[in-house]
Amino acid sequence: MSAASTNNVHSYGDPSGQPVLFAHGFGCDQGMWRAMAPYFESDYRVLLFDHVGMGGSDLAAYDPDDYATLDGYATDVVAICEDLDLRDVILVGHSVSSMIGALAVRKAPERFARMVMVCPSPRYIDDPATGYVGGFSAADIEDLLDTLSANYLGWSATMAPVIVGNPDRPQLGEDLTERFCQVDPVIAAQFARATFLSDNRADLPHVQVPTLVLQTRDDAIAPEAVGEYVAAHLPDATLSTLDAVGHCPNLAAPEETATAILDWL
Amino acid sequence: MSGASDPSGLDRALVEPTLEEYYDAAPCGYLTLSPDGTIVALNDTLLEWLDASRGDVLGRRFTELLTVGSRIYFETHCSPLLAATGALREIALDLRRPGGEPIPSLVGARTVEAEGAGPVVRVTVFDATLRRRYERQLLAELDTERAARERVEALQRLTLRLGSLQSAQEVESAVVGELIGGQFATAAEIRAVRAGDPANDPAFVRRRGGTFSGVIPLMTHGARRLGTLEVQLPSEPEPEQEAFLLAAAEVAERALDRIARTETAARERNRSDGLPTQQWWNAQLAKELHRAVSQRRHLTVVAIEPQSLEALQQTEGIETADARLIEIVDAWRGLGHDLYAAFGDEEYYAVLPGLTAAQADDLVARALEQCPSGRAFAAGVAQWDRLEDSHTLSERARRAVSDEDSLRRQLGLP
Repeated sequence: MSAASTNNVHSYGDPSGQPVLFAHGFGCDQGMWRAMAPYFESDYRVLLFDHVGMGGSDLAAYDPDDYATLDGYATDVVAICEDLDLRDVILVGHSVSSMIGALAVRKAPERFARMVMVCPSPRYIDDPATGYVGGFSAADIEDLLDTLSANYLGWSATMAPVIVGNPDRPQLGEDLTERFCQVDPVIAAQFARATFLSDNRADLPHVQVPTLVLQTRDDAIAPEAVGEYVAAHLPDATLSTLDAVGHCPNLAAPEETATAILDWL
Repeated sequence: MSGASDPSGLDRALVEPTLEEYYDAAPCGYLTLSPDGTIVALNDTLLEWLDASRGDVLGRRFTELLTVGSRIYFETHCSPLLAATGALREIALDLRRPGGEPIPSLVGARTVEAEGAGPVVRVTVFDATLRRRYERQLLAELDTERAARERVEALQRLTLRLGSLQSAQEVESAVVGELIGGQFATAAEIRAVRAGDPANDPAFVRRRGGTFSGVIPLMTHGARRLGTLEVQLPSEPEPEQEAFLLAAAEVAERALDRIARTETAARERNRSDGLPTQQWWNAQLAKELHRAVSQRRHLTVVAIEPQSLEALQQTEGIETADARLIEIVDAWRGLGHDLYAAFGDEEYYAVLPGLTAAQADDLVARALEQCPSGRAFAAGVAQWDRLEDSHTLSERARRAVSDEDSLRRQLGLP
């Protein structure tokens, strides 16, 4: 199976345009970009995908060992670029996919021209030894895992039959809203661990492409100081703060977010 | 609508509250949020649960009422879903209240058009403390069942796998593979102890200081154990982990026993003629020597060489030669002494516990008398000098055969 189908890649816009690859974060799937990506379609080739284990990806490709850390997800991003022979890619990563993107750029710098990090955090858990404040403690992450398991019922009742009944996975379409943000809780817990226990501070200086760091006001997951930290440690960064609030400006303020990126490009 | 027509006989006008009362005293929490999640209204029930005043809460964001884990979940899973579909159903979230235990809740939400105010989000919060406790218990039971099932499956895999292995090294790597693969131990917790530790107790678990070790035997060589596999855990093992370690030790022990038996059997018997081998003879003789020491008895070894067996095979045929051999064996059995081993084609040995060389000579004479074809074999007798090892003793008996032959030839005897 090709990386493009494993990761449920969707492509539209100008086929000869510069590719913009959107990577969704922890929680949902490529549907996170649906209000924002259309702003790019007239001038760029828009590519959306689901991380393995999420959305319409091939669940059979999910191996807990491969995806125990963010590295497995970064490998997939590079594989998509190679599979579709994408060059000069503008990689837009939301939340944890900012760091997945940073790892992908480190792995295959020849594929990427620019990077956009939306609400990034290189480490979520505080690190008292270095004075770094990520905003969370290890106990908070346990609490998150507990919440994920408490929401098991919604998944098992509504989602499991859909997947069992349609092993070929229906394409992203009418059932989008039904499936949106419904994740196998076991995979979600594993992705949560990979995300919130990650520490990618040392990778930042190696992101050798111009990078736009977008942050919001009142982001409960990536506080403003963390965005500033990211911008300060990237070799070539532009920091921009949106008026939008919350962790998902791509959904809450798609126009403002898209405009900020397009202006920078 | 009059109370008089109500079958319950109650005056509905007195019983039914105003809408405000419905809202504030409802048996669930109500909230109204602006589209960005800011709290613009909430009811008294929720304030009571949160142990807060209206002024404390209005203007804050809904996620601030949640525990950190629930807040991350809401931001990453629920907000996007609400934005996409305009509704949330049966979401399990924990409300936090200052200085108190979190309140496990079930939350539903819906985006509606408020007249003149644009879209707002209406949220209902149900106390789910008991339900969640029950669900946790169920999940814990599922976890326990899953762990037990995984242990049994891992054990079945291991048992099947070990059943076909031929060496202790293969057993070791299969056990280590299953320990790590099944997450019963990490590579760092497993230690192979190659020497020492005779491990009289084959499968056991012991606690030494604060650490736990499951000991799995490995590397047996014949009946001798050359090492063990120790699993040292930093803390008390989980019940399933301990059960697996114990069971794996037993399975490994059985496999090693089987391999050891096969190896021993291969060494005891010569593969081509099925007769005992020299190696086995030496081991048996060593045991007899030990017994002779502990019982303070003499011991003599007789080497037997069927005379001209090879010539007989050539002139009279193999059947005649075999008949001769059987005569000799029968002669010895008749005296109550088994032949122990055959080295090569023409050497046989018997160990005679408790006999001196002179007594052995008598026995040889009687055996010769019992052989109908007369002078059927030459024999060399060597009495153990209580110092030499089994090999030297056997060798001395063998040389005595040639000495006897040459003496007889010198004396012109038959």
